[in-house]
Amino acid sequence: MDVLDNKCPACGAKITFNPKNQKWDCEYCGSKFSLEEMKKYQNASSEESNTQKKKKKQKKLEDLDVYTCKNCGAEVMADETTTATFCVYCGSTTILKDRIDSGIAPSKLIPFKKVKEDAVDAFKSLYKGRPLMPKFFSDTKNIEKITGVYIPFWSYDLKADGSIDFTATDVKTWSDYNYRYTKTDKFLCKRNSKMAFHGILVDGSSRFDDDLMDSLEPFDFKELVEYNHAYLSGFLAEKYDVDSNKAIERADSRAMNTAISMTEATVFHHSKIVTNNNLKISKVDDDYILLPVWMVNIQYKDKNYTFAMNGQTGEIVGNIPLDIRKTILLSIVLFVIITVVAFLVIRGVT
Amino acid sequence: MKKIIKIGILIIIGLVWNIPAVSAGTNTNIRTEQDYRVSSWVEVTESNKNNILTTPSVNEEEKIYDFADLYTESEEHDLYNKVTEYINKHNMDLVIVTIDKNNKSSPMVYADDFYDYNHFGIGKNRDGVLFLIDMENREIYMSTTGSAIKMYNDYRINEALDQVYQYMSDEAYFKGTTDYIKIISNYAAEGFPSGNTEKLSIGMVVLWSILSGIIITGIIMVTLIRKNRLVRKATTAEEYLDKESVDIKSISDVLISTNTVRTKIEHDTSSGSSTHSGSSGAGHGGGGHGF
Repeated sequence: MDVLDNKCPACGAKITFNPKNQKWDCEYCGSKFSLEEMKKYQNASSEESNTQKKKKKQKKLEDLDVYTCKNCGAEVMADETTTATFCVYCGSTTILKDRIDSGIAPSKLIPFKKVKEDAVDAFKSLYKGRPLMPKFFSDTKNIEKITGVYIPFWSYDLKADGSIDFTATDVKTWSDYNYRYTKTDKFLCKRNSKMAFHGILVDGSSRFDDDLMDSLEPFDFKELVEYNHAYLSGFLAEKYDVDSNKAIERADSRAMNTAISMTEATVFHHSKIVTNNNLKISKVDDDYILLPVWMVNIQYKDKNYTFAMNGQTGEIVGNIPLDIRKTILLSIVLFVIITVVAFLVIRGVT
Repeated sequence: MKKIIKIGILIIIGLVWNIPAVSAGTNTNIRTEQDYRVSSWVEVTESNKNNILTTPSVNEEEKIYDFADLYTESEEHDLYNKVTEYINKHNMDLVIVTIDKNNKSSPMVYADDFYDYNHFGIGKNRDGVLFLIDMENREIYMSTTGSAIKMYNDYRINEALDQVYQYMSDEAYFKGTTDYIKIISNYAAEGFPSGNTEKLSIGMVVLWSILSGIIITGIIMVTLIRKNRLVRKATTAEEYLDKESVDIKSISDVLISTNTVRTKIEHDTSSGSSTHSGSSGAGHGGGGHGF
C-alpha cells in the first residue's frame, strides 16, 4: 500500500479529496489528480506496501492528528489538511489536538460520494411528509455543522454449518353440520444447513449507537478501495475502540438468525419451533474498514440527537423528536374531523 | 208444481249464495286457472299452481279471517281495531287467520301461501306478520315477511308463542290473540333486536362515531410518529448471504403425533329468525307452537 502525503504534486500545497469527481483537487493551483497520478507523483518518503495482509493490519496510522474532546472523551483523527473545531459527538468546542497513538490502519474504505451540500439538502428536505417534526430541526444553522467522518466498521465473512431440529405443527379444521373437527399433526424435522456470509458490518465505535449504525446499511461494497490515507483529507476519521472479538457477537447473531430462517423455510409445515440448534457460526475472515458518514448533532430541549447520512448512498438515519405541541394539535383536529364525518356516515347508513 | 219448487229452491240457494258475509273475514273469492287472483310479482308455475288454487282468495283489507269461527263478532271487531293500530304504528302488516281444516301440508305452508297469494304486506318487501291458529293440527304459527323477519328473530317468535299457546289450549282464543298482538307490538316498539345494526339509537351513533374517531386518529398518528423513527436495529444478515453457498439437506421429516378433536356446533340464530321460502319463492321467517 502506498501511503500518500496529502500534498499537491504540482505546487506542494495541501490537497483534499473531492467526492464529486472522486479526485484530489488543489485549491491553490487548480490541478486535479486521480489516485494513480497521486501515487505517481508521490513523495519519495513513502513506504513500499507490504503484500502480506496480516502485516498490513498491524501497520500504524501515521501523520494523523488526534483530537480529544474534553467534554465526552471522544477521539477523532484528521490529517494536516483538516482541523476539528468542535466535537462531532457532543458539539463541545473544548477539544485538544495531540499526536498520540492513532491506532492500526484500516485495510479498506469506501470514499465519500456525497458532498456536504448533498447532506445539507437531504437534511433540509427531511421535514417533507413529517408534519410532527419540530421546525427547529430543518434550521440551516443546525445543519451547517454537519461533518464528514470515516466511521470504523468491522466487516466479517462468516460461515454457518450444522444441524437444526424443528418441531412443526399442522392444524387442519373442517366441520359438518353438527361438529367442528380440529386435527393437530406434529412433525419432527431435522435439517443440515450450510451457508456463507460476506462482509457483515458491525460498528467498531462504542461512541455510536449500534442500531443507528445498522440503519445506515446497505453500503455498496463494489466501491470498496484499498485504504489510502489521502482519502482522509478533508474529513475526520474515528479509530475503532470495539475489538473485533467483541464486535463479532453482533455479526454472529445476525448470521444465526438468517441461517435459522433460511433453514426453517425448507420445513413445509406451519408453526415451526426450533427445538435443537447445533448450528455453528464461525469466522472465515475479518476486515477493519472505514465507511463514509455525514454526522450532525442537534440539541433539542436539552437532549442530544445524533443524525447520520450514509456518505455513499445518501440514506439518512436518526430519531427525530416529536413536536409535542404539533402532535397534540393535529390529534385533536383529526379526531374532531373524523368523528363528525363518522357520525354523518353512520347516521346516513342507518 | 215441481218446477216451481225447483225454481224456488234455486232462488233460495242463489240468495244464500249471495248474502253478504255477516261475520268479517270469511268471504272468499273463487280462483280459476284463468284468474289466479294473485299479485303481479307471483310467478305462476306448474309447481305452485296447485298451492295457489287451494289458497282462499280474500279481501286483504279485512285482516281477520276467522274460518274456524273462534271469535264472536264483537271480538272480531275488537281484534280488527287492534290490528289496524298495530299496522299504523309499526308500518307492518298484520293478518290473523283461524282454520279448522288445513288443506295444505303444514301450518307453515298454509300461513306462507295465505300471505303470499293474497295482497298482504307493506312496501316493496311486503313487510308483515301472519298469525295462524290451525285447529286441525292444533298449532299456532307465526309467519314473517320482509323486515318482520329481522324484527322477529327466533327468540322473539318463541317468546311470543310460548306466552300465548296456553290460552289456545284453554280455548281462550280471543285473549290469546289479543295478548299475542300486544307482545309483538311491544317487540316492534323496542326496535330491531340487538346484533342488528339498523336503526341505531342516537347515543349508539355518537358512541360509534367517537370510537372510530379515536381509532382512525390513532392509526394516522402512529403512522406519522413512526415516520420520525429512522433507526431500525438490524437483526438479520440476509443482504450479506451468499445465495450460492446455501446448502440445506433434509435429514428427516417424521410425524410424531396426531390428534383430532371435535366440538359441537351451536347453531346461532340471534340475528333475525331462520328463514325458508314458500311455494311462491318468497322468503319467510316464522315459528310455531302446538297447543
